[in-house]
Formats: sequence, structure tokens, C-alpha cells
Amino acid sequence: MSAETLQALISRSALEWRLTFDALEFPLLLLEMDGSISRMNEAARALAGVTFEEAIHQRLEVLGDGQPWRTVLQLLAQAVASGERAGLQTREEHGRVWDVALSPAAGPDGHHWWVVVIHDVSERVRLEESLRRSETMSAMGALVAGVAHEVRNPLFGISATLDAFESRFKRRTEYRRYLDVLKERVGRLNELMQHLLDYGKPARLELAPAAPRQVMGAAVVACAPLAVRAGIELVLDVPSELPPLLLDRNRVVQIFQNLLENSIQHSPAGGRVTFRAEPTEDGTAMRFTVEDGGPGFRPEDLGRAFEPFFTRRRGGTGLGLSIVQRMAEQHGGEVAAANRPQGGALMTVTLPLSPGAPGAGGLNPDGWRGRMDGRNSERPKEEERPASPRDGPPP
Amino acid sequence: MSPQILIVDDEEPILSAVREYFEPLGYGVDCARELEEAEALLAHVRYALLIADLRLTGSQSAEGLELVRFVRERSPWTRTILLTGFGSLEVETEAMGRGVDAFLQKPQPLARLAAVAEELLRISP
Repeated sequence: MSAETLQALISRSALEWRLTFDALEFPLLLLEMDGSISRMNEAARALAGVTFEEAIHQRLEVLGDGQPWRTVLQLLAQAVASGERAGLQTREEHGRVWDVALSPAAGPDGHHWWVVVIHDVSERVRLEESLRRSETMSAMGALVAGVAHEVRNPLFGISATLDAFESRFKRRTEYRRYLDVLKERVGRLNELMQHLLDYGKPARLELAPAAPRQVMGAAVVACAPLAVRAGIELVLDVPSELPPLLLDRNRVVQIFQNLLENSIQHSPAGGRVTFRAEPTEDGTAMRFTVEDGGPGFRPEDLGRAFEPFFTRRRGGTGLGLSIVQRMAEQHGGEVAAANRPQGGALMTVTLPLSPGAPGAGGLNPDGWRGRMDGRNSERPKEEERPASPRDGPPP
Repeated sequence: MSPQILIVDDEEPILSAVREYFEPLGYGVDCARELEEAEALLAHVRYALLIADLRLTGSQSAEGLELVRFVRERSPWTRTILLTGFGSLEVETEAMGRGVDAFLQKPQPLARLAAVAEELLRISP
């Protein structure tokens, strides 16, 4: 074989390896034993934002101090010390989750390298967490629903007895204050039971296309009496042309209703609560916001706003925002609590145009059944069924 | 003649409270705790209205639906209200399919129950 032919074969072989190396979708690096970069594929260069020339023979630090490079450095130190494979899953503060592995490799001439393989496992981890959460929730939901239903019977016994007592002794003013306390407490227990039932509602959705403006309007109508009593102006600010969303209307009305009620209850009289909607920048989802002029969240409470039973409002059940979060997640959406720079709270719910849409965060794994599970009560909304005696909870 | 009502519930306090509330409103009120007792009364008394709990014997039962069926077959002049602490669209749909006139969740203010009763009897054939 001539030297030229041999040279051609070697070049061809090198090209084949480079093409293969660069065709891999996940970042792959070959490091010298001292940690300097010997090879890195196209995916790794794209992730680090460097060219081949900038990185080759340089120390790892040239790739920056963000993730996953910080973890690669950490693993390298560990692997150098032990001489063995090292691996770690690492999570960026507000973003991706990386699986990083670093393994020793030896050539026939005794030369050693470290092979670094990096996988973006964010989506898988997110789905796993969502599945775990929904499994926990459905177990808890069944328990909570059972308890709530069992409590409602004796609760009716108490409230009916109070009603009968009141109708019989309505002229006896000395009983009034006792009655008022009892009735108020029974009302609160009833509200708690309703919230528990809502919170424990199975994740199965009944999806149908709906105009955002119409769904928002239904929630505003439902909250109007509360707003009037509290002296709050409710402002609905929605562009007329918004794409329809595929959603479970009853639940999304409830999401909005809970957010509006929360804002109304935290606003000073004479204040204003503004409800807006706009498509997200990438056009795959709709962003709904509720703003108020109340005191906003204490900084230390922001992380706990969606925790069940966490509330600072006297008489609140602490489930309103938990229900919002649960129902938004069932739609493959998300909810966030924040304070406005000028004061007051800003609640943001992002719902995908369709719960299965790409970039929408995907649907909660047990979210889509097309048919709602019938074990729990749907809370019928007044504006949907105004004239029928077949109605839900007491007003 | 005052309209006769039959209340069916397995909880004694509910029966006595509903009776005490409805009698001064001009209704004659009978109470039953069990399905058989209610059916026997329905077979012998001409009730204008039946107010029944969906479940009389535990968390999986649905005697209220049985009673609605019984009324539709044997006592078609009787209006029906089902009460339940375990409301669900499926049960409600089933009840509607069996011809129940109103479906209310517990707890319910008796004033509202009375308003629904009055409305049903007003439009009663």
C-alpha cells in the first residue's frame, strides 16, 4: 500500500469519526488526564458557545462556570482522586437537569483519557416528578374526598337543626348572638369541605375549546357580588382577538375565580383588581394575570403561597391557591406568585393552548381522560345554570 | 288540604329539623329512615313531595335512586328532591335519567330547600 493511499485511508477514517462524533445529539468530550480538552463534539461546542479552535487543548474552565461545566469540573477532581468513573445529576436553579458522567478510557499504547457524557434529562425528570406528585395527589385526593363527604352529612344535621331553631325562636333576640356564631362557623366548615373536595378532585379533565374572554368573563361574573361588597373595582382587560384554548371550563373558571377572590379579599376598599390575558411570546400558551393593590406577599411567604393550608388571611382555608396550582398543572400549565414593583400581588397563570401542545410543559400524566371522573362534586356555577332548582351548594 | 311531604334520611337530627321547619310552613310531614319504610309509606299515602337522601346505608349505597324509580312507577304525582353529601355529575345524570325533579348538595339551608319545594309544588301537574 502506497503512502498516499494509507494517508487517504487515515484521513477518511478520521473524517468518519468526526462526523459520527458530531452527529451525536448529546454533548460528548474527550479530556486528557490533566483535564485539558482533547476533543468535544458539536453538541458540546454549541452548549458551551465555543468553537473547536477556542477549546482545543484548553483547560475545562474555558467552557465557563455555568452548568453542566461546573459539575464536569467537580467530577473530574473526584475521578482523578479515585481513578474511577464518576457521575452526578445536577439541577440548574431555575432550569435544566443534567446527567453528567465521566469515565476513564485507555488506548492500546497506554494513553489515558477521560470521556465525558452529558445528557439533558430535564423533560424526563419533570415528567417523573409530575407523575409522582399526581400519584400522591390522587391517593390524598381520595382520602380527602372521603372525609369531606362524611363530614357533610353531620354538617347538614347541624345546619338544619340551626335553621329549625332559628325559625322557631326567631323572636327571641337573646339567642341571636349564639345562632350567628354557630351559623358562621358551620358556613366556614362547609367552605373548607368544598375546598377539600375541589382540591381532591381527580385529575381527569373534560376538555373542550373555549374563548379565553368568555371563560374569564364567567369568573368575573361569579366574583362580582364579592367585589361589590368589598368595594373593589374588577377590571377585565382582554384583547378581543385571542385564540381559543382547549380546557376544562369548570376548572379554569374556578382557577380564575380563586385568584380573583384572593385578590379582592386582600385589597383595601376602593381598590382595583385587574384581570388580563395575552398570548405568550412563543405563541403556544396564554398568560393570564391578576393584579391587585393590596399589601402583596411577604418575601418569606412567596415560596409557600401554594402550600396547602398556608394562609395569613383570617378565616381563609389556605386551599384556594393550592387548588389553582393543582388545576393549572392538570392542564399542563403553571402558576406563579409575585409582588408588583409598585406594590400589590401579581398572580400569573400560564395555560397551553392545548394541554398536549409542544412547549406547553406537557399534560400531567394522568390528566387526559376526555371524561371527567364522576366521584366528586362539580361545583355548578351560578351563571351557567341560573333558572334551575337543580343547583349546587348553598349561596 | 296541606301538602304531604315524605322526608327520608338515616340521620335523626336531619329528620326532626326538616319536620320542625316544614310543618309551620303548612306542610304535613312524615319521616322514614329506611328504604322499605319509605316505600311502604309511598304505597299508602299520597305525597306531594319526596325529599330523600341519596345514601341510606353506607358510602356505596344509592337508595335515593331506588326511591325515585319507585315514585316514578307507583306514585307519579309525587315530586322528588334528592339530597347528597356525595354529589357527582354521574350520580346527578343518573338521577335525572330516573326523573328526579331536583338534586341538591348537603349541607343546604332549609330556606333554600323550602324554596325549591315550593317551586316544584307550584309547577306540579
